[in-house]
Amino acid sequence: MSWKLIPRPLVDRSSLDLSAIQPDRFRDLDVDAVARVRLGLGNEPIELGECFDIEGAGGDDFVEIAGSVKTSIYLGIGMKSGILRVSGDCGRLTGVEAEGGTIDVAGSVGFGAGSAMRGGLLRVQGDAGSGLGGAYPGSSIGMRDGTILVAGSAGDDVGLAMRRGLIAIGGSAGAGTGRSMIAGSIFVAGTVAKGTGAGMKRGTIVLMDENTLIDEAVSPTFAATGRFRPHFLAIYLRRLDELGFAVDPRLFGCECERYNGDLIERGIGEILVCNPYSVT
Amino acid sequence: MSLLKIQGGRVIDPAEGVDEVRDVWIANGVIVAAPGDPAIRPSRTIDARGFVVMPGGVDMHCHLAGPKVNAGRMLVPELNRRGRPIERTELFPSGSLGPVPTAAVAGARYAGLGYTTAIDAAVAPMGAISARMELADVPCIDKGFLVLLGNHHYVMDAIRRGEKERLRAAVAYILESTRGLGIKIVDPGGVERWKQGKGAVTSLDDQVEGFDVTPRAILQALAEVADELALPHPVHVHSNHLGVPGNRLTTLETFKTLDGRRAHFTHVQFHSYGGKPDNPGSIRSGVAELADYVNAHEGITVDVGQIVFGETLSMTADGPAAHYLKKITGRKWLSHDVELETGCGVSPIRYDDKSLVHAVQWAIGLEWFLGVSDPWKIALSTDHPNGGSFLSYPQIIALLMDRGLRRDFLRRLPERVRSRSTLGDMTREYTLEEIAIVTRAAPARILGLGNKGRLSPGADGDAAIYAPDSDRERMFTLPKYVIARGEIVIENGEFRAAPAGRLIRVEPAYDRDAATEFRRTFAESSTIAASRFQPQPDPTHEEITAPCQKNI
Repeated sequence: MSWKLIPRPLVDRSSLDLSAIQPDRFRDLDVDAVARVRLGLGNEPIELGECFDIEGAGGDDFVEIAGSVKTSIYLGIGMKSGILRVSGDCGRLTGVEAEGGTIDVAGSVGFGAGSAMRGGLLRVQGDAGSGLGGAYPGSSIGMRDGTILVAGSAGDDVGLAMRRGLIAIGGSAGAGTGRSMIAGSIFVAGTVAKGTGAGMKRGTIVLMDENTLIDEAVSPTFAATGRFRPHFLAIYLRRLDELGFAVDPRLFGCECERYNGDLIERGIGEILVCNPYSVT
Repeated sequence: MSLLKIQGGRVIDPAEGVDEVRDVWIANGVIVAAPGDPAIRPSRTIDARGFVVMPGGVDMHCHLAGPKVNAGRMLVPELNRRGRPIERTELFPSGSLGPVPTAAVAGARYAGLGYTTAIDAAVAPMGAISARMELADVPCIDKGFLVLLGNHHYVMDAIRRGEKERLRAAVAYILESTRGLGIKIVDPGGVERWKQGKGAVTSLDDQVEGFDVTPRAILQALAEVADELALPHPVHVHSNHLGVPGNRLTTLETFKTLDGRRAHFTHVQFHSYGGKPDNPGSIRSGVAELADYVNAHEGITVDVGQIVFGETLSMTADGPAAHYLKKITGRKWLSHDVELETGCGVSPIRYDDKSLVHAVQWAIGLEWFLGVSDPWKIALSTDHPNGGSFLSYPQIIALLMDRGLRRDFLRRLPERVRSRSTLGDMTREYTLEEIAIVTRAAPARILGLGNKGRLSPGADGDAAIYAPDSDRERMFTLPKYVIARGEIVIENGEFRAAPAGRLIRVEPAYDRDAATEFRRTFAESSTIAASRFQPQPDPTHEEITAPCQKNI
């Protein structure tokens, strides 16, 4: 059995701190204990039972929020294991510093989802706000490990200062994708805006949309270094496919144009632009 | 009338030389003698039998409020978020901890350690309005602040022109209009010189361009003003070259410059380094000579600025020092030019027990505590948050009281600390009475706050009651009772009340006509309307006045 939490209208009133909803800790609780879990609404503490109708029972590490919690903050923060499913949208800083487990959002997520994440999987069927997988505001290191899959589009600063891990975006991404990236991999199926990879030290950004205007998206401090067929790309794409991320089948084994940079930083990062017509 | 009796505790009140079992009576927030008439019954009795009763703690140097504290909060949101958020309770609003706790959390946590007074050590005159508004939100404790004058344009101009009258009047006017408690001198002349792009001062005799004064002249003139105005607290000096190896020579020279005058030297740990200025790794202790000087001279007092290992935030009016730190750590940094008055620098720092430099700094702080023979000359501080949070005071107390603990701590540090510091050879252990001196009685006396730091009749009804414990850190972390102005703030370790706390300030007598020129200059040169800079009571606070008479 698992827990099903149905949001009451109250939850949209003010910023709702959901950091206490942790699947692994909910496993052994009874319904009264779940109802008494302390959340925060605005600047006041509030009990979970006041914000959600509770159904189900414990027993496994699975919690479903059956609805939208658009004003939520810190849902799944520091999560270690289990599955957290949201059937609607959720708010800011979802999955911050998560170390393991899965957060599955059927709707969209707001600002800073997966920032400073250390492990686990964050899957979003809708769109993501800015700062996806980036650094917690003020800190200098973004996502350290784990996987983030977004079926829709993402805002600005995807993977800001990310250190390790994988981010894949099914739609387009905003400005500054992979900005100040330290390492890791970012895949974008749609278009990207300006400042892609600006200040990146290492890491790989793969742009899969043939219509990408590279001169607009990438700064002149990246050097075109020719075309090649990276073998690792097929492995990565197969892995994304397995995770349920829609991949254009023409891209397996395709040729890529490689840009090397950012040369004002260490300059050993790369931006790969896929050519879907190149498969032989 | 509320009459509180603290019954049968071991009262440690060094200001009166008391260490004995006795009762303490507090009537309407003030300590009174035991009523002679046995018919008079207290309205409340605290059974303190078996407990230790001390005056409320006094932190004479911390950074609690004002523009730079807020700049610090904005610079490191990622540090402030660490740890559990503090939830709203019936008594306190919600907040956060981190290196710079929010206002209400700071007040509550100070009281939670048995402290009832804290003084913010550096507020630019222009930042005073904002600092006061923020201090009004710090509950439980009485507070005050020192006003930065060591790089003030008008002050330096008046010194160059030799206009003592006008200088004295301007300083008094600034103290009165800001509602400050005393004069703070930070890196005299050095901040202004650095702001001009000329680098740090090289000695106390460097000229500050445009003002033709030297750091030495600034120190002497302001110390003289503090004496002439009979301010309760002498000049509070943060000398030049903070944090730079080899700065012990500058510090000694600064001591000598103010010889014969009253002066308080702050966070001396940061000013007692041997080694070569261009090589941070060459740092070694230079405490011995400086502590000897303090021991041998009357009128000089110090607070330590002990560092504590962990992540914290450095914030100072010493722009060049913050820049120096930023160059070493490579971390983010904020610098602010406070027009006409001073500078400001903020940068995060992590004191790491694997780092030789930090380990030596840690040892130097403790060397100061153990090297100054008269505890009345030294006050406990971490320069919160620069050296570490005030929340680590119990840890420092435990280290002072137990040389075994120090030895164990030293073992965790890099081996080479032992050749750079004499801490390992120091066997002194503080007694409870000496702890009461360095955390309460001495800072109150140095600040000239006659009603603080003592438990004799007439003093403010501030007391902390601790349960004796061989684990001194636990003992001082969790007081059994804390009483502020006669009100029980903490009872059995739980908060019962959050009284507002008052602003302590001075009201020096001066020639108002002589301040006219300062007011005119301010109106002409400042971007802030002169009307914002008028002596008027601050409605956000209950104010109390520390009387102007030399206490040291």
